[in-house]
Amino acid sequence: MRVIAEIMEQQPLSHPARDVWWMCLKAPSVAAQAQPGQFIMLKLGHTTPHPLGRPFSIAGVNDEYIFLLYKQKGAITDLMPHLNEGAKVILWGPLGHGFDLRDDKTPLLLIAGGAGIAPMLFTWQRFSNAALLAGFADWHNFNRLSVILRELRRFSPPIPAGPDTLLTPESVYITNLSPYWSAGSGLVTDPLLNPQNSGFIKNHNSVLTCGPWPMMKRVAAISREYGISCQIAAESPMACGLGVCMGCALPAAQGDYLYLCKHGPALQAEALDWNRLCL
Amino acid sequence: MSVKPDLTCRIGNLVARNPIFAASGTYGFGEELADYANIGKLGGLVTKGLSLSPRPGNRPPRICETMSGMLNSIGLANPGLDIFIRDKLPYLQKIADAGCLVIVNMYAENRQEFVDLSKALSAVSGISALELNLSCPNVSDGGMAFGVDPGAVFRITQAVRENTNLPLWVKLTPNVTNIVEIAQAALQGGADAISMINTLLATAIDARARKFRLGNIMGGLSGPAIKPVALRMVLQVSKELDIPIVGMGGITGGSDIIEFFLAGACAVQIGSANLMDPLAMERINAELFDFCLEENVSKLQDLSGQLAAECRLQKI
Repeated sequence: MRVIAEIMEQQPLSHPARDVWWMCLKAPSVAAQAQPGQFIMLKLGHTTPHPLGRPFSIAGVNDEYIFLLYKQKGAITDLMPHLNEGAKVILWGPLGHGFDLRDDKTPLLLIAGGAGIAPMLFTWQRFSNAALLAGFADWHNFNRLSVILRELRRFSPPIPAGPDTLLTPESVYITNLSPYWSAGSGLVTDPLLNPQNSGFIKNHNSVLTCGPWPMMKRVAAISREYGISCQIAAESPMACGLGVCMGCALPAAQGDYLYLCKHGPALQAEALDWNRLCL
Repeated sequence: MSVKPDLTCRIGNLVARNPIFAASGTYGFGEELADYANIGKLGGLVTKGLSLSPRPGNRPPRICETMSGMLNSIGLANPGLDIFIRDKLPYLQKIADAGCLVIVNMYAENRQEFVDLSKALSAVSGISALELNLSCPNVSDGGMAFGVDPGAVFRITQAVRENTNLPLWVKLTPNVTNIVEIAQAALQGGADAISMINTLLATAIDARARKFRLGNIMGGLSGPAIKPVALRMVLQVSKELDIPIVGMGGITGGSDIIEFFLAGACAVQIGSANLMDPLAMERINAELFDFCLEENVSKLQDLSGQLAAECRLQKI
């Protein structure tokens, strides 16, 4: 459905940097239906020089409120932090297909990269036995993550993780690409390549991932080696979010195209033709 | 006390309850938006461009926003005639029964395919008119060539005319030097109305990535950015030719419709605005009604071509 939603609160996801934001919107009908992996289209008004809505993954739900996580990286996301509490936006959703979270898919291993953590947070909120491993090239933009985790479900201080870290269930791990980072430096996939973690990985029935394409490609390959189903949440330029514009095409494994807003944004990794994706 | 404005409009022999049609490619086959918009309130709906065989569409990325507009290079992705008739038509027949005119936009790569499509579509119920897409700039090996050549426009229009009794709209590309010449060819070929304008051929470049922003490099520009071009072209054709014009190009508000009427249109299509907000047409319809109330327009159709007529009188 398409609604006018009210901004309840915004807070930066970091201190002192203020490039990534956590937004709470009142949208009861959307919140009631939202499933992890789904998205909404958001639009600030009718007369801007930037006329298209913007897709945002739903990062969590609480009662009649939905949460969004966004990074400032363009005209609209640069405007959004200036919206005050009480400001109204046009919003339609929930859109697309979320993750397949049927019982035989759990327990879940969630792998996030950067702002791709948004749909992972919603999934983590809903599944208390999910482990979350998140990697950041810019941790300074996300360093208040524990505040958000507490808001969503429970206080869970993220544990820095590196290649030698032994992963345990129900924990939140973070890695950081920064060379100045003492603990947990490296790629988010590094702990997964440690053979000592193979038992931990095998305890999961699916891997869910969202982040940069090269990261998702690596996560999909690791999952395949373990024989564990892998679902990705993808991103693609789109106009309507409703299956009308046919803009959000991604190459399908069976030839032709998949449409992100209709078949996704959550997709089985093997549904895509990774070779035809422009990585 | 103001009288309730009469928004009904006549396009040749077709009568629509209001002048607002969804433009091809921005409303799918209707059903996609059934949960969102009140389709029953539309004047009409022009379907996604339909070809004989299914088309997968162009290489992504296919969409990018530009200042006050957008580019698309969808490549006429569509399910093809057979699936259309089996899966899409029943819903369209339902909204046709509710008073919404259904226009099928046809795309083909040669004259015979246009003829085959129009024969097949004339044999089913629920369709009020056919719209010939001679103009979509996205497909390098087809539509572009027809729409820029008056001879080809005449021949295709005539061939389809001979094979259907449905009203025939011909949608023109703006990517030509002399739009009047092309419109005249369509008129002589037997078109009942002209739809104009399709998107403007354009490109966009990402300066940091040093790459094109569309996989197809070039695409069609639409949205508010193109409205002045569309108005100019509607005016040019309306001044010279006596043929109903369905105007479009960047309409986002009720007063935009008035502008198109004054330039010479007798109905309009809403395109990109539908992608920018699924409730755009309902809002625009309400704005049009309010505008007519405020400005004492009792019959919208009376405004059609007023400024074109003034230009003719003053020999501008």
